[in-house]
Amino acid sequence: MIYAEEVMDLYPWFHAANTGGLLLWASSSQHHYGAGQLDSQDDALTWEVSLRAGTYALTDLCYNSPEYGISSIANGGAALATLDKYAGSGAYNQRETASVALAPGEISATTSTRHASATAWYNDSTYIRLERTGD
Amino acid sequence: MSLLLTARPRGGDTFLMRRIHLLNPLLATDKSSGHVYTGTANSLYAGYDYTSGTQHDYWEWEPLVLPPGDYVVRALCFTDANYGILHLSVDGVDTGARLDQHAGSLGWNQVLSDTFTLASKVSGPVRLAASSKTGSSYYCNLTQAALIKVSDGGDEGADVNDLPGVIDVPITTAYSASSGTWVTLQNTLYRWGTAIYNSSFANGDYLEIKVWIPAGTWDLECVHYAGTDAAIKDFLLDGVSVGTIDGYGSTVVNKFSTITGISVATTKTYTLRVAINGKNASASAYSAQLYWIQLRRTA
Repeated sequence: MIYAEEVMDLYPWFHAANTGGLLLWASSSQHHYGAGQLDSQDDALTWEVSLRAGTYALTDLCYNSPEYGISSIANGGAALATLDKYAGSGAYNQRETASVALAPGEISATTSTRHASATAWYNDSTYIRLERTGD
Repeated sequence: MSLLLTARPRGGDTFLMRRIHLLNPLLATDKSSGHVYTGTANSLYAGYDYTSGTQHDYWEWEPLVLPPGDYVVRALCFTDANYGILHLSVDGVDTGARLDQHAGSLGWNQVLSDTFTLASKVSGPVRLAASSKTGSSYYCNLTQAALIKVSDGGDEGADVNDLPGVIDVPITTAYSASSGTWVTLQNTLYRWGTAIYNSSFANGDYLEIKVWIPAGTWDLECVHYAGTDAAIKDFLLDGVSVGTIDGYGSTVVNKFSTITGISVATTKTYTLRVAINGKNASASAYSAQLYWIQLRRTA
């Protein structure tokens, strides 16, 4: 039996590594008063996690708008899911979700693509929550 | 990068130690006297905790188990002219990591970083202390901090005592189920910037959130509103009550209350339910307002 965390929150400012700059913004409109922001294509954040392998419900608490791209989630380099943060107008406290299979190691969020109507490559998160749902 | 697991005897259990340790200054297990919390709309989490300006003022957290390897320490804070340098020690040993909060002008929402290495597993308190300065004083501030292991390998522990002993529960935004009407508010009055309350004011209203808890004995600390309209909150793990907190009393926006001696028999994910369950005879309503929950292992 492997015992390891099955619920965790990944904060953008407590990443293990990043590609591109990370801007932090504060606003009373966003839960916990703000988020971390990537602003260019292929910008990325990575976290190194010890968790129990399995299927996880992923929730990205974020901000969406016409200027926002698609956050590609990967684990150990394997693509898992995409979270489209494009919206016709700015929207705080959005929850982009996916069901993903995770193993211990590197989890990354990269803004590699964007919606056809998106005008920039922003990608914001307050946190990404992972909750194990099964094997 | 992948996690390297060493071979174990057939039937042996594996206990993976945590690689990202959140250090919450408002829930430090010890700190020097004279700390002040300030709410501000300029800061993530709507505020920061700062020291008295005395050299060696500190925050300390435990119980933490850190696997061997290379680490980054990060502090979410602001920098300014009269702020000093935080020194990181683990189990009483200086790591050499320094976070310099001095800057020519005020800079909100900075992430200061430094690196250190642990040659072997450490079980002991982590301390950030305002021990040196390049500017005019020893003030230091924190919104949040974290230790992040960036090297691979060495994460296997020996037993359940090597599993995490601090579990942070962002109840205001990460709950997965509820009964009644719950409203989320942002305000600099609230620790961590966000509150959730039941606008339905009904007995039986509840929130549920998933929490992974290793076996052991735990304390549960809840940061909540107390007032003459506040109800009794019952805390349940998988449907079994582990204690109650009565919010009735003089108005305190951020009250820290603790349930001690919670016995957890099995390491697994639980459903934590916070339910309105009655009220003091003098309370005027069944109101509950929550800001944060943290579990800490005591045995």
